[in-house]
Formats: sequence, structure tokens, C-alpha cells
Amino acid sequence: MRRAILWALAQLCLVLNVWAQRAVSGRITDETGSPLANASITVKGTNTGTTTSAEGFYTITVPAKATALIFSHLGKMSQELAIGTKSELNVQLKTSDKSLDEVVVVGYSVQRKKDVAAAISKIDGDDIAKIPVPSFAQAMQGQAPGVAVAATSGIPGGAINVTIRGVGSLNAGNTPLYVVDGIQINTSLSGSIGGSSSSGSSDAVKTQNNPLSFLNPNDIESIEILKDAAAAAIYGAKAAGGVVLVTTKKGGSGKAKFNLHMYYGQTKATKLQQPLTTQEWLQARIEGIVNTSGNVTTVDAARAQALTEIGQPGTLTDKEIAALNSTDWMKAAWGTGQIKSAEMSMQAGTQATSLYMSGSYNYQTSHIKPTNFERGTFLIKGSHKVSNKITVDASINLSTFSQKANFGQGGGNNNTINAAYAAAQLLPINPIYRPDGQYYGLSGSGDAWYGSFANNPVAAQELLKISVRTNQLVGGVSGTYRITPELSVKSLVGLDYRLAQVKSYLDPRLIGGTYDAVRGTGEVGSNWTTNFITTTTATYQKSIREVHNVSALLGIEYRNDADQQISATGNSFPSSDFQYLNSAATPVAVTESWTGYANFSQFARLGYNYRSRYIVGFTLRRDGSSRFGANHLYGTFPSVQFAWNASEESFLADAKSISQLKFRYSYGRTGNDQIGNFDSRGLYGGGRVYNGSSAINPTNLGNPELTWETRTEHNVGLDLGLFDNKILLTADAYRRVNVDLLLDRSLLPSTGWTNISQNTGSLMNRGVEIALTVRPLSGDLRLESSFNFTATRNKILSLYDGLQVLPGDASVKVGEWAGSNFLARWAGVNPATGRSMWYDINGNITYQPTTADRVFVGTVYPSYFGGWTNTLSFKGFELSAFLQYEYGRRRFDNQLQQEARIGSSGTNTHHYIYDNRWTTPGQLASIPRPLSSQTEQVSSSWNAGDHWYYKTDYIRLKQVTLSYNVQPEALKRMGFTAVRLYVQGLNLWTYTKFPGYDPEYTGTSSTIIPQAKNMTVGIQAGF
Amino acid sequence: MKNIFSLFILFILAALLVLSSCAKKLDINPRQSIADDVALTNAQGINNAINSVYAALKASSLYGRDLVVISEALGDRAFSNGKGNRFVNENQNTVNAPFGFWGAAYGALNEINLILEAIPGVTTDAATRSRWEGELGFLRALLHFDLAITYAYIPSFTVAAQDKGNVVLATKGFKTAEISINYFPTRATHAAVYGQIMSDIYKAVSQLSNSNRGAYYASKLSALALGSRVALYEGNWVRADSFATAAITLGGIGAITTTANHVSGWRTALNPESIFEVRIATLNEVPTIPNGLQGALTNLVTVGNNTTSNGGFGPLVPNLRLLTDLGISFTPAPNASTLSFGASIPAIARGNDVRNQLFEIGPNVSGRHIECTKFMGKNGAPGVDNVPVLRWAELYLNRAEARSKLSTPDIAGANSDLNFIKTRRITGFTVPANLTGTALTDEITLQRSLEFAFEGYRWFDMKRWGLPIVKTTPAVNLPNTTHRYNNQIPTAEVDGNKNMVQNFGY
Repeated sequence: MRRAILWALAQLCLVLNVWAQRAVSGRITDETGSPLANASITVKGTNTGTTTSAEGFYTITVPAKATALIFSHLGKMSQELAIGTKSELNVQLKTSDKSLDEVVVVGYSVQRKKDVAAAISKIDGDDIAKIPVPSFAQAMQGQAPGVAVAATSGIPGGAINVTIRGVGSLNAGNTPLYVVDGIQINTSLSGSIGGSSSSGSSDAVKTQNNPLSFLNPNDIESIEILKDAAAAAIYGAKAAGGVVLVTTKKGGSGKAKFNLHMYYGQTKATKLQQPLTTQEWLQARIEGIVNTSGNVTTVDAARAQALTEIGQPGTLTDKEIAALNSTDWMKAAWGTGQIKSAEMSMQAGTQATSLYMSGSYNYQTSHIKPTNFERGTFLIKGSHKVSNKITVDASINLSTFSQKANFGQGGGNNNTINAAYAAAQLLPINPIYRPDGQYYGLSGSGDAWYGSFANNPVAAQELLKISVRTNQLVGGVSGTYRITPELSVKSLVGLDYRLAQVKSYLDPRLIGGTYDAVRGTGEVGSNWTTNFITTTTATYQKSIREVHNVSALLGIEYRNDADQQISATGNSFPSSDFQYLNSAATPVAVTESWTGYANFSQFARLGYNYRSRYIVGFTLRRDGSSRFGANHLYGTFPSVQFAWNASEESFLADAKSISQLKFRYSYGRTGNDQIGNFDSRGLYGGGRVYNGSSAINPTNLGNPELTWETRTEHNVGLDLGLFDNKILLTADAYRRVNVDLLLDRSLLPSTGWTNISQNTGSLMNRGVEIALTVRPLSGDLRLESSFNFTATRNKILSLYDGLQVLPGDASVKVGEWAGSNFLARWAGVNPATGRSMWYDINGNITYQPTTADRVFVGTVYPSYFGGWTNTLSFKGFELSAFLQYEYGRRRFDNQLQQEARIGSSGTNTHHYIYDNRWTTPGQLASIPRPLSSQTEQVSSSWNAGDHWYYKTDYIRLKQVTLSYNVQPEALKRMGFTAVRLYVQGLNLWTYTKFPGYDPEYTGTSSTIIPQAKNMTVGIQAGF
Repeated sequence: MKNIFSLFILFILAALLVLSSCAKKLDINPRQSIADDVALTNAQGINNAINSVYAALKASSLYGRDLVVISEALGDRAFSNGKGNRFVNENQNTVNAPFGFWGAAYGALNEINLILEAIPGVTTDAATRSRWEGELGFLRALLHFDLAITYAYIPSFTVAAQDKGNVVLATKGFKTAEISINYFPTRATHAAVYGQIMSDIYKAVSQLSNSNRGAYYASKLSALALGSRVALYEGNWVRADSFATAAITLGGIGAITTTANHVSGWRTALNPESIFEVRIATLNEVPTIPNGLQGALTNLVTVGNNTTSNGGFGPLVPNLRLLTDLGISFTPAPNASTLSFGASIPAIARGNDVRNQLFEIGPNVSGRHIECTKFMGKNGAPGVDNVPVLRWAELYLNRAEARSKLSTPDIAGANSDLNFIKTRRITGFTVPANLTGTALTDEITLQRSLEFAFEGYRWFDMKRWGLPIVKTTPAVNLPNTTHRYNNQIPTAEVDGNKNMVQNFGY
């Protein structure tokens, strides 16, 4: 009976409930009254909810006992309104204070910035779009503390080195993992395809091909950089170099919005070098001859000899010498380049479907011809809500870019035909053109070249053809199934496919072993990488009365990467009119190669916070990689994160001055697998040949014990906002230790092997990162100043077998920096004799320093770096300036060293060297006396020791922009929503004491194209 | 709720399924290499692997360039004119480690030892097995010998106070990381190294026949010829004599050239006089011109055409002493310190020694020099030249020297060998009365320097004879005790090995 009554009551309640349900409707707008589409409305305390239409209208059925509705929209502050008896609720949502409710992508999911406990830097797409460079990595330069971005050269679209929180690994890579919309990008370079035209030489280095160039920087919504191990640990074994998460723009809703951006500009060398004139060169050469002979040869005899060497009668008078030809090869080979770019994007959508489309065309030529970069991109992203539970997303990014290259510009090879290298060293007596206007000194002309550089680099700029075309496709499809409002499952399948094609033609009109001597050399090559990834994640999110907030993530991932390459080389072309391999009479080489690896991973994240006050996070990832020995396929990488949002505490709620105060601590472990794909295997490879028969030889010594390099890191952080966030400070300090370093352990050469990859040794990095933003003026005249600063140092903690010094590389020593220069110190020039002196280990002067005299003289990594952005705006005008600085590097510059050869018969000299050379006894000079071969008798080589290592500290005005936002009234009449006009300069001013081309380079700088100075004007319009 | 739960289970099941199938997908193998444990298990693998050892000799640091060019730059018969700034420091004898083939040579030695250890496990006939072991024995002896004479004193002249022993002997292959890591060898004694070399040569002599593979491969003849050289360097005159005699008697590969075909012999792919020659057949096997053998010695593209340059530098040219000895003179004379003729072509007078025809005026690249034309891209493409390692003339000159130094010198025999060579090199040569004493020694010295000019012999001859290093262009004057005679051992070898001793002076 009792049961029956209960049943009846329940039935009654149900009926009442149905009866009590009613509809509430209204419109949601922003502060300006514009409708907000896709805003969400939920009934407080339930899962019931809906979204607004394109015009901002909504209708929701609410149960009688419902008390309030919660209105929210991305980027707006959520609002809660009591329902009462109303049937219409109209709401204006205010733009949220970004720093408070900003959402941060943390890998496989997003978090409110407020709830983040790890060290993550975020860069807004707007800041990236402001800098007109082809690759977003370059635009990250100086924007985030702890992230060191260095262009390897000034090649448009060239390679960029990004190092997050210093180098953690000695021999394995330090490249961060790049993830674009969930798809991990293959960042292996494919620009140096070939190299087969003549084994044993690196003449075939083509151009630099940056795999990150595929993305139009203007398509980027935001970039998050996972800096500490705790943040990155969710990416496990790929994350030791940090993780860069790129999120592209999404489709909109409602009426289509178009955005147009066009700019045009010019580029120039930041600095031109001044090689000597013929007359100056003669002076140096005469001194060189006299000095070399030990003052036996008289000045007159030396003068006659020097003149003879450049094909002149030895009897020329001073007046006749003054009239000798003096070519400024530098000026001829270097010029101005241009930048052109046009792009358009559209965001549109309906309630269920949204779409983003963009297309762009970008063209840049370098200041050194014919190097250029030309790119077209097309991105389409769509999202469709099949039902309340199922959403399907798809995106495809098609990109094609081509680069023409200067011969040998990839660096490393001292090529006498490379414009950057040769123009500074070719003797000025040689003319560029013959009297009839043809190039001087081509094959068969009979023109004599004087000096070691016996080829016309200006002709080479026109005649040598080297190009790389890259076609890249990055796309993915994902489905999200929202099982309940708390639980959803998402599956993503992605592909990053790249085909790079190289073609080069070494013209037989030039002189030399690969030119006329073999009647031209042609090479074609293709490299394709197929990088497939699939990820499935389940996320769970639950808020219990907004007090206890729980989140969980579980996922699996599989990635398979394959890289294949073919190339063919031939020579003996009928003439320079024929440039395709089908006309080559002699096939020289064909090659093919394949390499690949696979990763399989499982991962999980758990998060809990209490009123966003106390925050705890935990992640775990288990990774398997085909790169490691069978016994060590898998590695496990956990992390924990804690944060305390003190500003959420009641005792600080009233502290008006403190708007934000958060303390963070995190600990995490990540792995490094950036070694060769088959380094753990014992291998025999082919490729050698003897007397027309093939041969096999041992290529790799097996090490089945090879396993992950592990990085552990502690991070403490502070986020402080004062006076309504007018002052914002984020500070982080970290200590990180990489253990089981993947070290190329040197073997004694007498084993017949050079080295093996082994897990041994440890390396510590520690650093402090500070980002400070102040907004002292708001109102009509606004000023915002953001300064970031990074101090970092590393230290080698241990090597193997208790060794203090790495065998084979004495610069790797326990207690010292990784990347140290370990050389004898140069002691300057002896004022009496003009000879170079060095210090021995006891600090005494010596002329023949030995290996025992080597000391640590600086490191190639910076100790301090950062950036400083200032933005001043008044009404529609905005002036912003971005300074970037770097301090503490000391590096070898091979280009400069080569140009320091003074007094020799073969090469020209840098004016700085000439001006500072020793000439007379008693003179205090910084450059030794000129000599035919620079090296003194009974002395170490002239380039021994640290003489040619330079500090490359600099402060650079990276970017300065003046823009004007056309006022809205004027625009609306014309149908525009926003128009911005700007003029911008890049690298306009640099403070540095470095005498070489440019302090921003990696490697040894020879033959590279230095950074350029850009001036651009542009227009951005929305309609 | 139940519904969600079952879905969750389903998801986990699906995850497990993917997991198990993906674990297999981690099994990714290289496609252009094979595992080391299967590479040498059959006859084809052994043949291919032996080929690789021959191929290793082509390296620029070995016979591909340095053993020819650097040796000449260090010696006192060549001059670096500074073009391309190449070999200047070597020519001034200021470089610590002019040679850098330590690693390359031990790499090849390791290959040899790995093959020798694998041969017993391979099924094949006795003749093939014997040939394999014989060729590898010859190659192991040659590589040990080149290491020994470069990185250690040659027993025929040592400075006891500066003698740190010979090189490391390599007679075992390194198969695993573990063995390689725990290897800390010491320098062997001279006796041990030369003993090992001779034992390999004896093995090669007994296991090889001359019916096999010609001058591009090791043969019984090449083993005997190498034996005579090794014995000569060691100061074992009896053995040097007997090995040379045995080789001359055996013959079968190549023959001594005469005034009629000596010069043309240097224009054919295979020098008719070669007993063992490193074969470099195609453009793909050599560095581009400026970095290779031809580009180091000459700017000429073809013999007799000094109007076009090959784009090399041609930095290493004969000095006046060699030119005078060869009987070449000029009007006007070259600049005394640069040996350059400027842009003009001088008149050349040549003596009767045909060997001087292997030197001629080069094209005008910052002035003209007289250049060596022994390596002119004989195999049809620029820079592509075989490199003779052992040739017939050496047998006679080795024997002449050995006979002159026997405890009871064989003066007649030595003179007969000398005259044998001179008859075949000097047009209209008439045999003079027998030379004795220093006159004989000087003539042997002279003939070696003329015969092997720009073939890399001179430096090692100077070293084993204990000559001071005296040059006028450039001015060098070092006593025979100079530490420069022994190349610095790579720091990588010394740094990591407590048992290793660096050469004196470094």
C-alpha cells in the first residue's frame, strides 16, 4: 500500500513538473549592442542548456524550480541572472578581462589561465601577424621569456632555431615539438637534398627549407608554449625541448566577416662591409711580402712583385696605381630585395556549421640575389554540429612555397662563387664586366683572374640555378562525441605530408670542376615525408556547486613518420641552353634513401581545484618509440602541479590594489628521443663502390641498451596583478636536470668507430624568467609596455665512467657550460714585431700554444636575452616598438676570419682588419702584421686560439610600427568594419660591437645571407 | 548512468584493441641497411665487404689525396704557392697534424678484422677462402704500415729520447658497443708492429697467386713488393733485397716502362708500371676539383693546353731544386720567392730525363707556375685518377738501396739496379763506371726523388734517412730531431685512453 502511495505521489510530481515547465527567451548582445551568436545559456544547477542564434536570440525551456540562468560566451564575462517570473531576459555580456578568464591550450584540452599551475607562455595571433616574416617561429622572437629564437641566417623562409629554456641535451636534438591544431609537425629539414653530385664535398648544399613555413602566420589564433617539464609532460618523450602549440583561427557565426591584409616593402642589408680598394690591397700586400721575407725584400721589389701578381707591369708609378681598376664587389653582389604579400580570410557560419577560409600569397626576395621565397597557402576549416552530442571538425592547409638559392648559401662551405662569401674576398682589380658589357672571366673568355677567387660571383648569381619547391599538406578530421555534458570522446586523424623538390644547374659558362670542366652539372632531388598521427581522447569535466572542480583526460596516440629521398646528378650538357638532365651525357650519381620511426603513447591528466583557489594537477604519459633498443621501448613520464590563487581568498578579496596573486609549483619529467631512427642497431650499409663493384661496410655499432634521455624539472612561479591589472608580473624560476643524456660517446678511433649513442651523463639548466607588463595610461592616450627577461645558465653535472672531460671533445667538461669554447687565449699583437701572441696555461706569452694551454673562453649560448615592447596609442593612432636583446654569447665567425687574411696574394681583406693592422715597431695594434700566409715562422697557425671568436651581444630594434585605425563612422558608411593602415620597419637599428655581417646567425656564418633591414607599408581591412 | 558506464567500458576496450595492434607497429626496420649479424654470413657478403676495404683506400685522407699531396708539401721538393691558401702551413712544417687518416685507417682495419673473423663461418671453396685471407692480409699490412711510418718513428732512424713507441695494433674486430667502450690499448713496440706487418705479408704471399685480380687488387706480387718496402724502412737490408728479387722474378702484373712509354704511361687509366694501384673510376668517387688530387697539383685541364684553368688552385708545385735535378730551366727565371712567372710564358729548356716531361707551365691563375701532370683526370673526367701505390721502379730502387747498405755492400748489384732505371728514364744514357760510397748513396737518393716526385715518397724517405728539413722556398730549417717528423696522434685517441702516449712535442 505504502508503495502504491509513493508511486502515485511520484506520478503527480511528474505531472506537476510538466505543467510547471515554461519558456524563457531573449537576446544576448555585447557592450556595443551587437548580437552574440553561439553564446550559451544554461539553467543553473542542471545540464539543460541552449545557444543563441546568429542574431543573438534564444529560447529555453526551464523547469519551475529553476532559479537562475547562466549566460556565457567565449571571451566574455559570464553572467548569472535570476529568472523570477520573467519570460524575457535580455543580457549584455561584457568583454572579460583577458588575464582572468583567458583560456589557455594545455595540450589535448584547454584550461582557464586562472587554473594553470605550470609554466606556459601565450602569444596572441595578433602579435604574430604584426611581423611580416614567412615563418611564425621567427615572429615568436623576443615575445616570450625563456624562448630563444634565432634565425640561422637572413634567408627568407630559412631555418629558425627555437630553444626553450636553454639546451638540455648535448648531442640529441633540442628542437621543440610543434603541434598545429593537434597535429604534430615533422620538423626535420629537407633543404639539403642531394649532396651527391660529388661525394666528399658539401658543394651541393642547397637552400634552407623551413618546415614551419607552410603556415601563414596570419591564420594563427594563438601560440602557447609549454615551457616547464610539468606542462610538457603530457607530450612525454617528444617534449624535452618544450612544446609549441599553435591554434589556428576558427570559423565564426552569423554574417560572413572578411579580412584583407596587404603589404609591400623593401629589404636591404643591415650593414655592408667595406673590402679594400685595389690601392689599399696593394699596400697591405707589399707589407705582406716585406714582412714574410723578414725585411729582406725591399719595398720597391715587393711593390713590383705585388703589381706583377695582379697582372700589372711592376714599374707602375703612384699615379698609375691610383688609376687602377678597383671593383666594389660587395656593392655589386648585394642589393635590395622586396616583399609583397596579399591575403584574405573569411569567417562565417550558421548555428550548426562554422567555416574559416583563408588564402595568401607571399613573395620576398633577399638583398642578395637570387635568393627568394614565394608562397601560396590555402586553409579551410569547418565545423559541423551533427547533433547536440556529435561535432565533426575538418581542416586542410595546402601550401606551396618555392625558394631560389644562392650557391652555397646554406653555410659551411667556403665557396669561391658564393656572393656573400666571395664578394668580400675577391681581389678588387678584377672587373665585373668586360668592355663589351659581357660578364668578365667566363669560361673560354681568356680573361685572367687574379687572386684565389677565380670566378665571377655576380655572373654566378644570374647563371647558377638552384631552387627548392615544397608542397605541403597538413590536415585533419576529428569527431567529438559528447556522451554527457561532462564526458566526451574525441578522435583525431591527421596528416602532415611534405614534398620538397630540389633542382640545381651549375652552368658550364663558369669556371671550375663542376662547371666548364665537366660541361655543367645538373641535379634533381625529391624528398617526401609522410607523418601520420591519430589521437583519441576522453575528457571528463565536472563542477560540483562550482566549489569542487574536477577534470580528467585519457588518451592514446599513434604517430608514424617516414622520410624518403631520391636524387640524380648528371653532367656534360651540350651547352648552357640545355639545363634538364635528359641532355646530360654523363650520369654521375643516383641515390635513394628511406628512414622512419613510430611512436605509440597512452596518457592521462587529472585536475582538481577548490573554488579556483587551490589547484592540483597530475599527468602521466607512457611512450613507446621504435628508435630504442628492444629492452627499452617504453618510457613513463609523470608530472604534478600545484597552485594557490591567493587573490581568491576572502582575506585578499578586499585588497583593492591586488587584482591577482597566484603562486605555482610544478614538477615534471619528459623524455628526449631526438636521435637517429636506427641508432640502437648494429648495421651494415651499402653505398661504397670499388672498381665498379658495390661494397658493404659497417655503418653503425649496435647498442641494445639505448633508451630515453629524461628531463626532470622543478618550476616555481608567481603571477601578480596590481591595480586592476595595470601592472602584471609573471615570474618563473626553474631548475632542470637532464639525465641519461643521449650522448655521442666518443670511442677511441683505434677501434675503427668514432662514436656511439649512449645514455650517459647529466646536464643541468637553471634560469629565471620575468615578464612585466605595465599600462600606466588608459583613456584616449594609452601606453602599454611589456618587458621580458630571461637569465639562464647550464652546467654539465656528470659524464660517464667518472670522467671529467669528454674524450674527443675537451670542451665538454664537468662543471662547465655545454657549448663552451675551449681554446688557447690569444694575447694580442707584440708591439715590437707585430706577431700574434698567445697565453700558455700559466698566463705567460707563447708563440706555440699547445693543447694543454686551452682554457674556457665563453659559450655559444646566451646568458641573458629578451624583448621589450612599447605601444603608445592615441585615438586611432598607434606607435609600437619592439626591442630585442641578447647577451653573453661568444662565437666563431668563419666568414670574418677568412676576411681577416691580410697581406696574402689571393684574397681581399675586411677594412676593419686593414685599419687596425700592425705596421711599425712600437705600435699597439689589435691585428697582427700582414703576411703572405698570415702564419709566422715557428709559430702556431694564425687562426689558432680564440682570436677570431667574437662577442655577439646586441640590442636590436626588431620592429617599429606606426599604424592608424580609421575611425568607425567613416568606415560604416563605406561598408567596412575596420581599416588599419601601417608602416613598419624591421631591424632598423642595432647596437653591437660585432664587426662581422650581423650578430644574428648560427653556425660559423660563412657564406650565409645575413639578416636584412625591412621597410613595409600595409593595409588591413575588415568588411 | 548505466548507459554511460557501458560506453566507457567500450571506449577502454577499443583503446586496448588499438594498443595491442600498435605495439606491433613500433617494429620499424631500416630499409637501406642490414643487420650486422647477417651481413657477413655468405660469400657475397664477404666479397662486398672486402670491396669496401679497397674503397676505404680512396679516402681523401689516405690515397685519395693526402698520402700523395701532404707528403709532398711536408717534404723538400715541393713549394706551396699560396693559391687558395692551401698547403702553406704544411709546406712550412708548422702543422701539428698534417695527416688525418688515423680514424680512417683503423676503420678499414676494423672492417678487415671483422671479415677475417667471419670467414670461418662462411661456406666456400678453399681457393676463395685463401684469396680472401691473402688480400685482407695485404690490406692489413699496408694500413698498419702507413700508420706506422706516419705516426711513429721509422726504425731505420729514431731519436731514442723522443721515441714513444709505435702505433696501436688492430687485429680484432669490434662488434659491440660494450667491447669498444672498454678498450684501452697501448702503443705497440716497433718490433711488434713490424712483426705483425711482416707476418701479414708472409701470409698474403703464401695465400695469393698472381693469376687473380690484377693491379687493382692485392696479389702475390704486390705483397712481395710491399714486403721489400717494409723491410727497407725497417732497415732489414737482406730481406728488402730478397723480397725485391722475388718480386722481380715473379712478375706477372705490369712491367717497367722505358723512355718510350714512361710519360705516356701516366696518361693511361692504369699505369703500365703499377703493381698495386688504388682504382678511382668515376667522378662520383672524388671531391670536386679544388679539393682533390688533381686540383692540388695543377690548374691544367688537359696536358699541353695552358689557356684554360680547371678551377682548382694548383697550389703545390715543384721547387727549384727538383726542377734543376730534373734538368728543367727557364728564360726568364721565375720570381725567386713565389716561383711565379707572372702572366707570361717563359722559354723552357729540358734535359734528357724523360721524367721532366711530366711537368709543364700551367694556365695564368694569379700568375703561372710549372705544375706536375701525373694526375690529370686519366679516367675520363676531371680529377678522376687512379693512384699508384706500388710500381716496378720501386723494386729496383729499393733493391739498389738495400744492396748498397748490406753489411757487405753489393756495389755491382746496386749499380746495376740504378743503371737499369736510368737507362729507362734518360734518353741516350750511357752506363758509367760503378759508383761507390756517398756517390752511390747520393745517386740512389736523387733517383728516388726524381722517380717518385709528387707521388708522396720524399717525406718518408727524409724521415727514415734522418735528414734535416731544409728548404729555401719557403725558408725552413729544422734539425732531424724535429718532432714534426711524427704526426700528432688525434687527441680523441689520447684524451680518452690513459694507456695512450702522445708523440713527443705535442
